[in-house]
Amino acid sequence: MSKKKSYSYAYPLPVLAIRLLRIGKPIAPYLVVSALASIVGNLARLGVMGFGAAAILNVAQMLAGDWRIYLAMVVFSSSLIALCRYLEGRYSHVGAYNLLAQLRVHLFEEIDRLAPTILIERSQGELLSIAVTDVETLEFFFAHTIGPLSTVVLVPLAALIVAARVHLLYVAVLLPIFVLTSVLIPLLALRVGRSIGLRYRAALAQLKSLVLESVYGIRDIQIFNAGQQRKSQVLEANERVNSSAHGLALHQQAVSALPDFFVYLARILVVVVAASLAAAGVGNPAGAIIVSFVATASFSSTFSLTFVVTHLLEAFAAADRIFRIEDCAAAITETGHEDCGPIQSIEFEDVSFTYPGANTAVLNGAVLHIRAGERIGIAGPSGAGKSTSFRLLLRFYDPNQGHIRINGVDAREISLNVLRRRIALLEQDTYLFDCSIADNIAFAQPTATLEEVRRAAKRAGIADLIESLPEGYDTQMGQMGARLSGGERQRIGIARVLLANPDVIVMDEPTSALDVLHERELVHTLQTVYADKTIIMVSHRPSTLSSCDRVYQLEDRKFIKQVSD
Amino acid sequence: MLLLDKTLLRLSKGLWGWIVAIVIVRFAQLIGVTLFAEVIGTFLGNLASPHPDTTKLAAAASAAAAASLLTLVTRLAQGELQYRTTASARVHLREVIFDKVLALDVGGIEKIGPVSAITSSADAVEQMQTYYSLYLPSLIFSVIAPVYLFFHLAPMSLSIAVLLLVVSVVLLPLNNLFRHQIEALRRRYWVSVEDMTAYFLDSVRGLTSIKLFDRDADRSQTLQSKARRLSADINEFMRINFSSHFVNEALMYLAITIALVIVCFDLAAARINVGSGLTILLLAYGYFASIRQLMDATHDALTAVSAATKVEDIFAVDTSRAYNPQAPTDPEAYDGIRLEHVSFSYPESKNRMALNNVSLRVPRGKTIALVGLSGCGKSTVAALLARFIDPTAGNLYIDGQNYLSLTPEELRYHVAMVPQTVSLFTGSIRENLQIAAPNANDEKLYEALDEAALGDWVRSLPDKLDTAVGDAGSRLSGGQRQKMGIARVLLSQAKYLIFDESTSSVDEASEQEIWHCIRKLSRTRTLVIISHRLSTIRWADCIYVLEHGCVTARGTHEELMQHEGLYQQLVAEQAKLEGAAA
Repeated sequence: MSKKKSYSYAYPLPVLAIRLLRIGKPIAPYLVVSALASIVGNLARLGVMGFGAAAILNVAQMLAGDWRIYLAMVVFSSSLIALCRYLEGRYSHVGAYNLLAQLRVHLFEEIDRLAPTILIERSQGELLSIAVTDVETLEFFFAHTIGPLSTVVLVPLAALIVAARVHLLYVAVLLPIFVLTSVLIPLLALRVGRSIGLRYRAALAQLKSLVLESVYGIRDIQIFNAGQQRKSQVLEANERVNSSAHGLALHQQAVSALPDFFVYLARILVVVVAASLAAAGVGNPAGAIIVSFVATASFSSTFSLTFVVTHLLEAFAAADRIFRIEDCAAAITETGHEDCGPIQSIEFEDVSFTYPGANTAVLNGAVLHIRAGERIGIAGPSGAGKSTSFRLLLRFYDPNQGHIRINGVDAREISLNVLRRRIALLEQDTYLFDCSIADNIAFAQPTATLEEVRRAAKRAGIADLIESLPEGYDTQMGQMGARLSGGERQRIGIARVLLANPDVIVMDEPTSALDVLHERELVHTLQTVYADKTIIMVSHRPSTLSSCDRVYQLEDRKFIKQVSD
Repeated sequence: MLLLDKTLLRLSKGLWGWIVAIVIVRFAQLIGVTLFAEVIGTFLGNLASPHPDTTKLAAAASAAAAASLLTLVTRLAQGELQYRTTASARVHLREVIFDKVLALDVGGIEKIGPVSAITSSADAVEQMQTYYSLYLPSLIFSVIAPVYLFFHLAPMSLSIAVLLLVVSVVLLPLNNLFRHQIEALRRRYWVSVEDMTAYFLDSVRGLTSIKLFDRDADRSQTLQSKARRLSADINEFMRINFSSHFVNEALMYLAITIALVIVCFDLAAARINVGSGLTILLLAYGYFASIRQLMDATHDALTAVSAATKVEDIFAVDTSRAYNPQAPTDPEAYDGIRLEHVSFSYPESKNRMALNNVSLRVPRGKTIALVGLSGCGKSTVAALLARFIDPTAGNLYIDGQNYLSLTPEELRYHVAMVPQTVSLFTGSIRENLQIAAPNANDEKLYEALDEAALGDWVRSLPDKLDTAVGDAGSRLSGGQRQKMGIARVLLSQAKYLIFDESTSSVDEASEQEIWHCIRKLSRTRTLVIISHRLSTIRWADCIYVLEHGCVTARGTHEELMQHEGLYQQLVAEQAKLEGAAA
């Protein structure tokens, strides 16, 4: 994606607005209450100023009626303002935050749907910033947009009605200013500021990625005393955040100061009209004063509107990024729902595959037949497609050509749950979740008893280490995870897979971080405990594959059987 | 609400000039607004009099226009000044916090967790600036504005001036009644945010496992419950927050209404004229603007304060490293690195000694190897050598100098390391190499790359040294990544190089290339090699065998093979495995 492109929206603004509103459907009642409160509260401001002026004029004997009634109306309007402010704030936030909680979960499910490709295409920092900051920004749309937007028409209209009852000339003066401050300036602001909010967000995301990398790579930074160098990079990125924030700040300030200025002009014009009417002898000074005061209060809604517009830009930018993820097509779709039963055979038939966006194929017409209980080794240098072959088997991707059949059934017709329950993958780097060691081992079988967890740990050769920890199996991985060696983490991964009890175990470089004794133990485990399981082992190390029945070398994008001597 | 946060105030150095400037332009703005109200109020009063004097129109209109122009200009100036404040705050805070993150070093980051280090230097800084650009100026202005308006109202009606001033003075402590509760709720909200963020990050990083083991559903369910708790916490906060707003607004409008009643009575008693009455109403309506702005800024300030609390947690971590220029020098004046009776245990598991009374020597120009089963303490020795950690007991010496007499930076000038997984950073190959030698030219870079068996590959790339390595080096294979790590230590010019399981995650071809290159290096540098592949370190000048944190044997391969023990056993096992493969 080009840099320029990331500063503009992928969707037209109306589409963004409509999609956002559709998301807001479940909280419609809250939004209605808050919108009504916003309207009533803003109208009540006209009441305070209008009736306040009326009370003064009545005492000065320039206006009919009873000043106590006017005063009572002021009290009533004041109470409404306070009450409505409470209702508007409370209900809009309650609705918005409930919705946000749902949005966060929804986003995780979207990322989950696109995994694992999305993890290759986007940085973790970016995904995190979308899930936390962008979703938070949407709060603004739901909590602070709908109310002010609904008052923008009604409140000026009320002021115009009051003005019309006094003299049409006031309408002629006020209407253009209302149009200017409530329609033209906000629209112009939206147009000019379209990219400003996006630029700020993008700069911030970039900075965050930089910080994320620095923290995770702190070891290498410290080895080379490159901290200051890294810091200057962070400060450079910070400068970019600053320069984009400058644009944002100036835009925000102009957008709120300009309408303010026009409101003052309007109030001057009202006075000019009043004076010229008075000079012409058709003046109604009391009416003019009330119009002036009502006009003063009527602009409060447009003040908040311009405020809304600037923040709206950020909300749209956030929504844009969220919708882009939502609209990504997954690398595969779940098409079948069959259960293939215990796996008897796996067949790669003429399988070809090219990664999306790549030019050269990784596999081309690859053929491989595996029967239940066999141990198959797949060897080859990195980049030859070893990992690709099991990614296709586990359906991270589908082949471009050819078929992968399990028990004679095309893998695409088997439900993903079944497929991934029957075939377990031991990854090269075992990721340990921030929970206890026991929960990490039981990750595939959350219902496993501690005894079962222990047994798996013992088989994987990690039990002694765990039992030597003060908190044993309850040790939280958040703190300890980084302190475990690669081999120790891998053995936890092995325990995890052993507990999952699948038909087929795919092992991606299972012994790369194991010492010889543990490697021997693992091979022993595979030979005894899993004598009846099918094992596919991917490794560049001959010693690891030595226990295999057959070893295939990936050469020229095909599986070539190695002849053992 | 009065929010004086120690951390934020301590970090405010250099910002007070901007803060005062903001208060000054806002004061100028207030002068404009007040002038406008007085001109318009007086002129409307004149219109309402029995004999309106319309000749004053031009004067009044131009005075009002001048006042509005003044507010426009000062508003724009205020925006610029606020930006300048946030810009300096951004630079200052990022610098201070990132310095602290660096000072935390490997051990400190492990302790506090990477997520809080990241959020502190990224999001927290954005949230903290508003304290300086909005809250502090608003706080000062909310004291000045009511006093200024008091002097404008007093000549017209002393009682109203006093009434409004008293209410404005009462509002601040009244708001503080809610403070405790609001702050507590804010903190709770912040904790929930962190909790959810950490869980989400954990889930994204481990997503492949989650998907393969079919845990998506309960993962997203837990996320849902965390998200719900977060929204419940926020709701509770909003309830209290808007209740406080309700009390404030009610009090302000009550004051305006009472002022109006007084105006009516004064007018009826002819103590004031209509113009003054109208001016008073206009000024009263805008009287509390400064306090409203303070209330709005409080919302942001609370976020700033809770962000600052998190940052303070990081500042509170003791990053001072044992440093003593007078630390006793090596009595042996050994030429190389020497560990003397070194023990180490992690603070949270004191009863498990990671290293127990270990003594070993790394003679200059030679290669030593550390072998043993996982968890025997090999990597702890490496961490001590590179000074990621300091020993619990015992001494380390380098070229006769005590480790403690050098800062970690000085030490790492001599000692560099290739870890098990080399971290690369977004950027070009050149940038990644230059973190070890910022001024190295292309020739030097290729020299190092050639030694690491990576030169030909880089030359074959269309962009050569400028090729981007991808996010955190994702476009490079494991082997290429490790070779980059080796090229890096070569550029660093360090005399002592540590290889901590540097080839355990690379393919066979790369592994052989890397060992070939390590072998060549051993002729010119001092190496410490940690490996569980015994065949690869057979040639070392001295092999130390570690078991359960203790050195149990040492010697050359031939010497060690003559005694029964772990080493012999390991070699035999390995030969069996590799023999079977051959």
